Amino acid sequence: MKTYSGSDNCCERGHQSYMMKRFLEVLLVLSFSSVLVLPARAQPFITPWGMHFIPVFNYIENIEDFPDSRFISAYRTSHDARARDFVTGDGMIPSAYPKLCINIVYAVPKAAIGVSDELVCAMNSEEFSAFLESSDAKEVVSGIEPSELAPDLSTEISVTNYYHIALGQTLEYPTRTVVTHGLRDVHIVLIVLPIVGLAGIVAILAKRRRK
Amino acid sequence: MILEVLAPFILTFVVELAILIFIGTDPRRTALHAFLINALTWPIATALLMSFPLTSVIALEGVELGLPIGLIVIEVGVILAEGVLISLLFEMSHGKSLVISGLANFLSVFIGIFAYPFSYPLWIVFF
Repeated sequence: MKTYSGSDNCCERGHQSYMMKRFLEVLLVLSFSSVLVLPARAQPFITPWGMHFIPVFNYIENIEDFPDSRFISAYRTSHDARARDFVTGDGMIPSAYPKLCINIVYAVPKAAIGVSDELVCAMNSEEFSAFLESSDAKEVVSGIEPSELAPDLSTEISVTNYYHIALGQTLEYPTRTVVTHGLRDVHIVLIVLPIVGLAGIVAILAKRRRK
Repeated sequence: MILEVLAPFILTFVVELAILIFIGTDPRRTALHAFLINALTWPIATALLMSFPLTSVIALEGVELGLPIGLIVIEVGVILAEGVLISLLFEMSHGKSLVISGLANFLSVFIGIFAYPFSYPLWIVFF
């Protein structure tokens, strides 16, 4: 049978308390990591791997050519359309980012709109369809997307689509597109972190060699 | 938000620290070394994985297995690189540091897959 002297017992206890301390440290860092893991698990993911959504801004660039018309932005659900808002004076088509609905723009003669803007936007799909029919509305732009997918490493920040419309035809694609580029958080992190890491490691090794 | 981008890095750092804390003598210095090692390897690995999310599909009888080839190749590179850095910073043999690096990275990838299941091109489909 193994027996311990007083000093052995002391060493044994010291080793046990050292291991207990290390175990508690590990427990602490793992409990901290679970705080990071759980919210990530709860986050709904709809974007594919390596991609993210960027906003798309849409403009009618020749809105001044149609002083007798007003333009209504509507969104299409699976089977019907509802008004979202009126196109603003500078031609900006209201579309909800980051919703995935497809937007449409209708041109309505000013004289045919007998109700307030708020009332048009509050219409349900049946009322809105009836309103479009009665007011002789024309679909001028279709398939407007409020957001699009871009690779995570891409420098694209936003896309602005310009539509040059004509009342007799429906545009499905923008006349011209302007893509805004810039550095995002991911680029800053991916550039700064390795520089910090490399500089720190080189500094530690250099300091150690000097000693 | 910058925290959203940094969250996977912090997770990797914390998980690897949980392993490296066993080999370091001073916890504060161990944390600094773990941070510097991960600060150097994690962004490079992330950028590579974002650029080459290669997945190979293996169809067996009744099972379709999506193997993240890109992730595996990149992780092997990370294990080798971190093995060298651990051996330099913690002053230990290359063999031992490679084993520790392998263990730390295996654990961090495992927890990473659990934390971000849709971020990894890995799947198993039974049909």
